[in-house]
Amino acid sequence: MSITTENNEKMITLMSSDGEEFVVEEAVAAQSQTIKHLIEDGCSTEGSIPLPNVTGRVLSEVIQYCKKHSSSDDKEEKELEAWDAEFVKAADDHVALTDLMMAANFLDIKGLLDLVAQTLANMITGKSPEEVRRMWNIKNDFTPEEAEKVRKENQWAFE
Amino acid sequence: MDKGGEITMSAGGGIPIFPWDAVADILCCLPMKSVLRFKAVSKAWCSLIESSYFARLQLSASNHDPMLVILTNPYIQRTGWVLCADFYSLDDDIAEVDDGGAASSSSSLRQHVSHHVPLAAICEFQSYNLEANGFTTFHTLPGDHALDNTYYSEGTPSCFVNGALHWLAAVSSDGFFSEIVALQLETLECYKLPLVRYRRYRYCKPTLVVLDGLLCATFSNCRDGFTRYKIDAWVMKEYGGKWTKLFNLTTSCLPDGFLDRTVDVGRVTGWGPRVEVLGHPSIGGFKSHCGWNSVLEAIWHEVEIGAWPLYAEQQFNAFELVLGLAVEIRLDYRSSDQHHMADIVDAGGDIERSSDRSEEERMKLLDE
Repeated sequence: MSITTENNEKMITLMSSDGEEFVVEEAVAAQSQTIKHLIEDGCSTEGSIPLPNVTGRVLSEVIQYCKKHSSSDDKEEKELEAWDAEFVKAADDHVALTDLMMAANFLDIKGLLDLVAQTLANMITGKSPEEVRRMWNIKNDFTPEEAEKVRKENQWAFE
Repeated sequence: MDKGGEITMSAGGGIPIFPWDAVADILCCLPMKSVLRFKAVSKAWCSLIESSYFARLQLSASNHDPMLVILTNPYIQRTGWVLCADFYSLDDDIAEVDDGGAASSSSSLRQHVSHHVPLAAICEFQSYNLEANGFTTFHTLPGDHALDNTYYSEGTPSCFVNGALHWLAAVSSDGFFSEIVALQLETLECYKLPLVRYRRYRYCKPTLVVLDGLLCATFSNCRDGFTRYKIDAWVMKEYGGKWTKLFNLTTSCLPDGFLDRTVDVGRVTGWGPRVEVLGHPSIGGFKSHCGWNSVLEAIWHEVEIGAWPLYAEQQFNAFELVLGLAVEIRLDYRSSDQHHMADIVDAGGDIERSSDRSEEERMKLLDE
């Protein structure tokens, strides 16, 4: 469904996996390469664009990011950086950040992807493999011998 | 549940799949040390990190190719600099470089193919310092017109003197070395030094070495075998100053009658067919400077190695042999059922013993 606002901006409706609808300007939504392609393919003309991989909570954060970054094209970079820092800080923990990361990955928003990837990287940089496994609930499928071998080959990285 | 290439997430509610490219994106932001450590997270992470996809992703972040990667290892040299330095690119189909220790083998850097790389085309240097845990990227060469039309030749090792790395370089792509390109590691400045210029050196292969902290260039000419084997050594007594001839070595520098007198203890042969000699059943041992070719050839022919490393990477090879390989090599002498464990002599002890021996040992070494 395309609506045109009074200042002639084309509006798009996005629908999250849990059925929540968000009406945003096309320019904002098009920061997502995925959505941009959907629009180009004419998906936006017949109702809302469904995003089955993104929940309403995450999508609202993503839209918040896109709005900021589309409206502040020429604004000072410093201010934008500070805003980004606050934005990821608000996401709070690695679970929320991971959700955001996956949304950015699915929606293909490069700026957001880089931002969240860097934040998560900073989070895990000093951690042990065990801690990383716990964070993301990854199964350790190494046998003790294999684990020892990997450790030995990269001994200095564990010191 | 782990499902092939995907990681299952229990946290985070609605979205269960953490796609690989997202994991790779995160890992790309990490210092090398963390990346290597996370190979231990799971098999899937390990194979991702070792994949050429990841290597490409990691290094394409700089968008420049080829690049110079200086791998450093504080465990090897206390200064924290320079384990090896070479030009690398991400071209496929090239064997991985794995002689640079942990960092190079694990990050799947690949050595550049072409023989002559125009230095002016290198728009970006990358240096990796294990101590600081990160790549530093710096731009040096493009604006430096002094280095236009200068070619670096692949495979010539660098030489570390006076805080700078030195490579032999050619001013044309014909490959004759006439310059030395230096990279000051503190300031990351690039500059050129002249190489000794003599018409008769044109067809000699120069080598840069460090001698007592001074830059030294040797020119060897061995076209006619050892009889006319000749080495000229030059030293730069004052860095950046003039070259001074240190000595030249030819067969005539052996005392009169030396070859006759030593005929019973050994033979000076010049360049010999080493592979054939090592393969001969009468050979019981090989006292080697541990150049990598020598090591491989000796192992291939199952010949005992007495390790006598001299310089460059030979010490590495010797330690690898003694610590890593020594126990496992079984030698099968042709006397049927008798198996001997390889007795690879500890490098230090061997040097001591050998220095008590006569000239002939050294001459053997010259052979190699």
